[in-house]
Amino acid sequence: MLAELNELKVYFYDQRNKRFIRSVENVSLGIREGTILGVVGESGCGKTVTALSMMGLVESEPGIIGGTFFFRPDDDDADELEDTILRGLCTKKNYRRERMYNLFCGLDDYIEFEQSPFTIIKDSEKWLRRTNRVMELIRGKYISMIFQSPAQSLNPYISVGQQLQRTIQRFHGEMNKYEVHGYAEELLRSVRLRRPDVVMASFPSALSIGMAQRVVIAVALCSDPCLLIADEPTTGLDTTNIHRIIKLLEELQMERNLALIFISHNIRIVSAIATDILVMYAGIVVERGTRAEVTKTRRGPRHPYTEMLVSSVPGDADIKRGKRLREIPGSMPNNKKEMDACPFLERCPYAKGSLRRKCRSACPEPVEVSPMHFIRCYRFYS
Amino acid sequence: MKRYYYEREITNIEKFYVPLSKRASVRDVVSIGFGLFVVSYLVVFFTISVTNSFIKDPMEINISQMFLPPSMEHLFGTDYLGRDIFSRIVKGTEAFFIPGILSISISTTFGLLFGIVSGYYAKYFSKGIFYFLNIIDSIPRIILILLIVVIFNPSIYLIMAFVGISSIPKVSSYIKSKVDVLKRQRFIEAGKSLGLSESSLIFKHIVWLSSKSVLIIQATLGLSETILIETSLSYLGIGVQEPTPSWGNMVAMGKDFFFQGKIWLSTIPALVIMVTIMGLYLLGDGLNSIYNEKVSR
Repeated sequence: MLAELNELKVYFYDQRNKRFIRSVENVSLGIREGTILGVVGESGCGKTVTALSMMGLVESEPGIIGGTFFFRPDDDDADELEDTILRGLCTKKNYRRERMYNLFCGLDDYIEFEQSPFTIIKDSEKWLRRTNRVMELIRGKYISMIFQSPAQSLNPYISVGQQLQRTIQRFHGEMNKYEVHGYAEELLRSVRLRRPDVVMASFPSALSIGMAQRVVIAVALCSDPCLLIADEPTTGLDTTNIHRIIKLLEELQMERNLALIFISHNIRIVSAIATDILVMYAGIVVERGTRAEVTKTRRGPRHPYTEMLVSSVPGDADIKRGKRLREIPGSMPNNKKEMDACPFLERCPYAKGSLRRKCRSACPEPVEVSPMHFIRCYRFYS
Repeated sequence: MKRYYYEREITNIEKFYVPLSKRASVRDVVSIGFGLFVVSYLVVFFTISVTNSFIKDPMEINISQMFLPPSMEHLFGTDYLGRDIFSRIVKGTEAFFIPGILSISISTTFGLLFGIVSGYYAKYFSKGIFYFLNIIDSIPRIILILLIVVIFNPSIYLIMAFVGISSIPKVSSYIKSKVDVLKRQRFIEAGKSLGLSESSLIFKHIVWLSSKSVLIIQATLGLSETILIETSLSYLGIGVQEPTPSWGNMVAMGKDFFFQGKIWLSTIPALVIMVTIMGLYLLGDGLNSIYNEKVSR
């Protein structure tokens, strides 16, 4: 296991209405080397917040409320990381499990909350400030991130080549400028940019959005990270470019044995690339399993939300047949209330009769329907 | 981890280097060239006057050579006491050069500091700092200077220091608005996700790489403003006092002889002031357009 996120809870505080907004609740995920984890869900369901909190980039107070995030660094840097954790967070408990280090350790010293009614007694702002020192060792070096809008992720005031070379120099201090330049060209070639010299001399405003996305990927790969988080890398691209970027990410993942977390709201795109898929809804994980289990089987058990997500995106056969697409009725539940029922209850076509009564009683716990395939639905309770 | 070794020369950077003539329009090249000419003659005049070489003594009174028109011997002629106007103009740069730099450095340093702090940590400091800066801004500059002249000795250094202080609000509001926009940009978040520390994000990416142009332009405009203030104060008789030469008091002294036909006494220093200020303004303007051109290309 390379990274393991357990029971992540992220709440934000609404200053105006003086209440807490649930963003992510009890999200757990694990990722091994050389696998691609797809995270899918509609907007506002906490995909990006999960990714940002793994990077320690959640800014607004109180932010991260609970959970553990175990990460396995290289053996060379493990000592330094351990040192920084012990020094920066002054905690001796629960920071290590075999070769993995808990990057969220010490969180429970800085935070206290009551579950119902949800109130925070101590907040995590101080912890966020302290953990920055630990995260600076991790960010970029081990975990890189690609953001939604590639053109804005590059500094418009310096040329692409300079940005790439500065980043390389940051992580490979021993290289001289010829090596850095060569490595930058190599990286741009590896993201399939045909004229790296032209790209390097130009400013970000001169790049098309597909090119900018490739440059951003190249910058993220400078440090040879083990984990790459791609946060909706396909938004704003046209269909052919989506295809190309997905192919590129897949090839890069194979070449470098990366672990990739691919976030998207389109389940077809995710199923084209991911080995495991996580379906999120209203801040909780409703289904977790391999790609085949989640998307392909027609008769196998699936969460109703996943089913509807798949049927709302056209496949090849649907287009040929001229089938009408089905939309998911209704909208996301209010994330300001406590979750006392299944969040998908109002939109669920199966919730009828006695099952509906069950659904209304409490939020379902995940059931293991087949090995490593979890679904949060009362339909599969035996 | 793989290592890459390249012994090759970097040639294609040079190949794709865009020359200045292509990057900038003719207008920008002309205005920047003119501005650089102005800056260079200011620097040359200042070094000459500090080392006291190459020129006639600007203080030397020679009654037999009064009111000589411009000639080869006296380049800009002589004044009513027979002093060489050219060497007095050269010596006059001393009156504003160091005080001007003092004023610019005060305004840019503190403007930058307040701008960054109130822009980046807007939640905590913005209101307090701008309350304070608005108070400074609300005092009219000329009244402030007159007050200082009344209270203290009319030293040009003190006056310029206060001119610098009174232009802090302008610079810091420029920088604040710049930081305010930039800190929300995606590339700052992307830099954070690459593990850059907060200080390098602020100083390198927000200030140096992105707000450099604003600072340079503010500095050139600030220099021309200090020259204007110095000359106008000296003209009014509050700034540099006779017999120490200054462009302002030369104009003031020469104006009495203007209608006697001896126009070079006041016109030449006035022209020099005009050319200098125009050059500095054009320099700021040209630099501004080149920086913007580079980004939007």
